[in-house]
Amino acid sequence: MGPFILSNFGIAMLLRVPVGFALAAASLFTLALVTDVPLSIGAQRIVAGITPFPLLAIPLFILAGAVMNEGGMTKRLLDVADSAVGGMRAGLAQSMSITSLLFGGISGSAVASVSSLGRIVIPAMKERKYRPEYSAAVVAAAPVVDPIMPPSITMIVYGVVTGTSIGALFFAGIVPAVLYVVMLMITVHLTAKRFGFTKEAMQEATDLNKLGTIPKEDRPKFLISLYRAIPTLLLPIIILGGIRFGIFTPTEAAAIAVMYALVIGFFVYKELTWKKLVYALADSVLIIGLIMLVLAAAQIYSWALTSGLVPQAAAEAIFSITENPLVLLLLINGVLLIAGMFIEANAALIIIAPILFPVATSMGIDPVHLGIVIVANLSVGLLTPPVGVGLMLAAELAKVSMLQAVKAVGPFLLMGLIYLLLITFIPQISLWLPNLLS
Amino acid sequence: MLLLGVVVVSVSWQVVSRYITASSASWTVELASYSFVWLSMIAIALGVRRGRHMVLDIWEYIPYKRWLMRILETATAIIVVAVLAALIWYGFEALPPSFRRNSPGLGVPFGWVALAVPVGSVFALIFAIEAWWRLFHAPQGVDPLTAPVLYQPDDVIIIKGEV
Repeated sequence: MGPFILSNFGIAMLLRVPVGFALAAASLFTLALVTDVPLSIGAQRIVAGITPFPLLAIPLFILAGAVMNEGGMTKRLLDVADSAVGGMRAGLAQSMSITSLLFGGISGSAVASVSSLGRIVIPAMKERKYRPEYSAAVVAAAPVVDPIMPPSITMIVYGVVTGTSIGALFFAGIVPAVLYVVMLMITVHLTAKRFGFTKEAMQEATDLNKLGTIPKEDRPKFLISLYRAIPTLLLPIIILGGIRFGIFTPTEAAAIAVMYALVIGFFVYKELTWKKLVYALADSVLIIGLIMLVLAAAQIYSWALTSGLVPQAAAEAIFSITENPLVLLLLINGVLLIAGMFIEANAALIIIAPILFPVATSMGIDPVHLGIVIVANLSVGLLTPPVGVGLMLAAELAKVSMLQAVKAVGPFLLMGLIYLLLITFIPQISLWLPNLLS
Repeated sequence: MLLLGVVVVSVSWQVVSRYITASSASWTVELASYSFVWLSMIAIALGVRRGRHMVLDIWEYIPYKRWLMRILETATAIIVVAVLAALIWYGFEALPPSFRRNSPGLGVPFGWVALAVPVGSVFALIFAIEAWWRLFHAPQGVDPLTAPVLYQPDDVIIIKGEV
C-alpha cells in the first residue's frame, strides 16, 4: 500500500498538482480503493491535526519575521555585519553570511531571508563588481542557516510530527548553525578570488588578496551600528532565554516576538506604518496557507499510512538492509537529499519523518540529533537543482538564469555536503548545548 | 479578506493575553487554536486563488507550449477540485456527531470548529475553478494570478512555494 500511495503522489506531482493536494488526493484515493474505513474521519483528522497548541507558533513566527522586516530591522543587522566583517576579502559576501545567522535568530524561514536580504545585498554586490551569478550563489547559500538557527518553522513541524521537544530542538540548532556560517565564510574566502568578481574588477585590483574589501570610510562605525541594532539582537535572546528558563513555551515566545517586533517597529525604529503592517499581515496569511495546506494534507496522509501499516513495513524493509545506525543515518541523508531536490522542506519532512522516525529511534538514534540532521539536510536542499527554491529566488533577484546560478553554487553545495557529513556523524555538535543546559 | 488580518491579530492577542494575565485559562488556548483552524482553511483557499501553493515545477525546464500548459492546468484543476469536493462531502458528513460534542474550555459545540474544513474547502473549490479559468484564458507569459491581497509594494517578486 505504501508504494501505491507514493506512486499516486508522484503522478499527481508530475501533473503540477500542488504538493498538499497531491498528498491528499493520493491518500484519499488509496484509502477508498484499498480499505473500507469511513473517509469522514479524514475531515476530523484535519481539524484534530491542526489544533495542537505548539503549531500556533508557526503563524506567529512567520508574522514576527514579516513585521520585523517591514520595521527596518533587517537593514540594521546588515549594518552591524558590514562593520564587523566588511574589511575581509569579499566583505559583502561575508557580511551576508553573518547577517543570515542573525536574521535566522528572528525569522524561521530561509526563503524570507533570501528575498529580504537579497533585495538589499545583490544590488550592493553588483556595485562592487561581483559576478552576478556569484552573488546569487552567496545570497542563496547563506540563508540555508536560517531553518537550522532557532526559531525555525521546520523544527516546529518536526517537533509536532514526531513529538520531540521543540525547546530542545531549538537549542540543539545553535551550534550547528554557527558551524555552518563559519564553513560558509571559509568557502567564500577561498572561492571569491577565483569566481567572485568580474574581469574588470580583477584587472583594476592592485592586490588580489584584498579583493572586495570594503574601505574603512565606507563601513558603518561598529559601535554605532551595534547600538542601533541592540533592540533587534535582543529578540533572539528573549525568545531562547524565555524558553530555557521556562518562562514561556515556544508558542508564547512566538506571540511575544510579534508584540516585540510591533513595539520596536512603531516606537523605537519608527519605520513601521499601518500600510506596511497590513502588507506584512496579508503576506503572512498567504505563507501560512501554503504551510497549512501541506500540514492538513499530511494528517490524511499519516492516517492512511498507519491504517495501511506502512511504517511497520518500511521498518522491516530497512532492518533487512541494515541494523547499523550509522548506515541508517547515511541512508536517511541520501533519501532526504533526493527528496529535497524536488519538494519543499516542510512537505518533504512530513512525508518522510513518520516513516523514518520510529525506525531511527528504535536503533538508538537520538530524536533531537535526528531532527537536526533532517532539518540541515532539507535546508541544503534549498540550493539543489532542479527545484531549489532559495537558489531560484536568488537567481531571479540577481537577474541570472537558473543554469548560471547552478554552476556558481557548486562550491557551496560541496561545502554543504561536507557539513552534512559532520553533522550526521558527530552528534555532539547538536547535542552538546542542550545537554549542557538541561 | 480583511477578516484574515483580524484573525491573525486575534490569535496573537489571545496568546499574549494568556501570558500577561499569567492565568492558565484553557479557553484562551482553545480560542486561539480554533481561530487558527479557521485561519488555516481560509488561507489555504486564498493560496489556491493566487496559485501560490507549492508545485513541482519541472515543466519550466522544457520549452513552453501553450496547448500543453492548458492540458496540464486542466488536469491539475480536476484533481484539486476532486480532492476539495471529497473534503466538502466528508466534512459535512462528519459534522452532526461533532456538534454533539462540546469543547472542554469554551463549551461551544466542537462542530463550529469542524465546520471550517468544509467551508474552507468550498471557498477553495470556487477559487480553484476561478484560477483555472483565468489561467486558461491568460495570454502567454502573463501570470494572471498576482492580484495583491490588500496592498503590496511594487518590488515584490512572487515565487511559487515561498516559505
